[in-house]
Amino acid sequence: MSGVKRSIRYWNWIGFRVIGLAIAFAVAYGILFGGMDGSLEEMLRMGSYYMVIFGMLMGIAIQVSAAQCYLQQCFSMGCKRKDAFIGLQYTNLLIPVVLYLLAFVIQRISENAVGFYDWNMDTSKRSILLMYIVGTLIIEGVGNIVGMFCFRFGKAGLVIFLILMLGLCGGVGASFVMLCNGDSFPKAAAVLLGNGSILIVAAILVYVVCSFLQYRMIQKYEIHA
Amino acid sequence: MGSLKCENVKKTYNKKEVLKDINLNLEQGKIYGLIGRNGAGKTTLLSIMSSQNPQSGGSVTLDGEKVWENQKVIDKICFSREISQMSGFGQNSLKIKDYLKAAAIFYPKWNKEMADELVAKFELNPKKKICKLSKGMLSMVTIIIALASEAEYTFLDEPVAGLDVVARDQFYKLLLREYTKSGRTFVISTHIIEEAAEVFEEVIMLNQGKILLKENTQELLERAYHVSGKAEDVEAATAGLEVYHKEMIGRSMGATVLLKEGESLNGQYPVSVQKMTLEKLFVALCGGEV
Amino acid sequence: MNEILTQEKSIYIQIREMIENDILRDILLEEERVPSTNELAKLYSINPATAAKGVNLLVDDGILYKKRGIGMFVQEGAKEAIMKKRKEEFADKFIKSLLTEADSLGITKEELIDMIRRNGESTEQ
Repeated sequence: MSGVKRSIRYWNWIGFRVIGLAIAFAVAYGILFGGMDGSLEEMLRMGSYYMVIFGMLMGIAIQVSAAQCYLQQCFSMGCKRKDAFIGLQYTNLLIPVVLYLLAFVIQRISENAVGFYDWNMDTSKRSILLMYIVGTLIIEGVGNIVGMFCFRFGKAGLVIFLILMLGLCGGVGASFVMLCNGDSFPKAAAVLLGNGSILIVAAILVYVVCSFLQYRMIQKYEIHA
Repeated sequence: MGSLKCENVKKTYNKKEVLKDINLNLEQGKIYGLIGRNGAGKTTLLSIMSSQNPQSGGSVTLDGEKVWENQKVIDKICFSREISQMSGFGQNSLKIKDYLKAAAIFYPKWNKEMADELVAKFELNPKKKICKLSKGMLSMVTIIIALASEAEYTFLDEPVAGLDVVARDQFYKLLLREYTKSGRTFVISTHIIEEAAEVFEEVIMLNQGKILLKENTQELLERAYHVSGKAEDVEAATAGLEVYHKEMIGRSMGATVLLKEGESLNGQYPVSVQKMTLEKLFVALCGGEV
Repeated sequence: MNEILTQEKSIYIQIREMIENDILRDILLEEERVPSTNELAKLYSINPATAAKGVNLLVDDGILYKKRGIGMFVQEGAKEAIMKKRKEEFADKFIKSLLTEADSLGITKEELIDMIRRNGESTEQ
């Protein structure tokens, strides 16, 4: 079996563990928050809602835990840097896809079985799917980098990253405002945010750039006992 | 005859030169002992030789092929390093069976029967978390991974750390059993030198990032002597020879001599000549002042 | 002094023999101070009580004597006393085992004496 296949098998295993965890939490939240007024519909609504949310957020969680212990394990067992990187991207794909599909299936089944249609996050809607894809890509992109930072700097990595991000966003926002002054700013913003395909392209760009940085950092990743 | 070669390997870490100009040729099919003080660079060297960390300079090749990021070569090597119980965000809550499962995925020749047999023999509970294991049990896990990997070149970093004397004895027996069965090449770093000296065919001494010597253990011990007696006599007897670690008390002196081929002690001076053990030789060569 | 301790004999006996050897070799002269038990313990990385046991054997034999408040000293005439003692022990230590080994190899006493003569000549040259 080639190195890439082995890496995928490994991250598949880890990925499904995380998915299991996310499902457990979503179910728990669903019962807890939904069960407050005691109705099954409410539980289903909360449960599928959280499943979608977790699908987006698990990206960061797994990158950070990967950098902390899973990557150590991989490399100390002879995984190549390149293969580990591919494995990480695979996990980034696996988790959101599976969770979204699961939420989708649950919602469709409930619609047909219980006749419940009032979802606060309806997975069959295009706008929800769009938001999910864009959100996931951006959050996962960020997660890739945060994970690497956490490896280099430990817990402080999160803090360092936040500071850097604030600085970056502040800078970008300020220059954006300066470029489009007066009227054109709200118009430009509306155009950008309204057009789905631009958003997706922008999100993909963010993800690709972050992943590239991650690849560079992983090459320099050194294991220490 | 296969071999793992290090040519002019250097490693600098945080502006400190941890390994300086390492040239090493490990022949296939031997058990090597890697001894050196803490911080000498043993773990770093083993990491670099197994493609787990990159070197800062020089090259490592197995049968002529570069080792770094080379899957074909990596498949032949296993470096079972110390498993850390703490990860950056707290404790390592992976379980023993998680490690065994990961090993099964990554090592192409993984022998599950052997792994299970060893887990039972060491009386380990596979469901226990790594952070809850004692030092001895951690060592046992690294030993199981190393042996069951069935890799042609297997490296172990202080595998007996934390093991009591009975468990250590079991380890040496297991190692030799596996070696006689498969003829795999083993490189084992250890601090417990005397016990292991019997098991090593060749010994590699690493001191402050440099290789002091690499030699057949028995041949090395045959040319090492401890000479003691009156200071002038000892000096005369060892004049012109490779002498280390001279110690003096009053009029008496003790010194360690490494004879080169064909050399012998000078003249008929009234000195005591004793054989050295590997451990005492190591202290003489690498020890500092107390 | 400065010799390595081995596993073959009890440590305290080795300590005693080492001091005797040094006296014979004029490394320790008569009326000179011998290292204290604590110094010996540090030198050989052994327990001071073990070192003391060996030193006390020498005091009992009259080889060393204690000057209160100062330390252990080599007795006058110690060197001769040691040589005399070792000569007496020579037969037990070396001759008996020599005879046993020769016997197991079928070497007769005449052949043995002949060997001693021949080897004795080569060392004299």
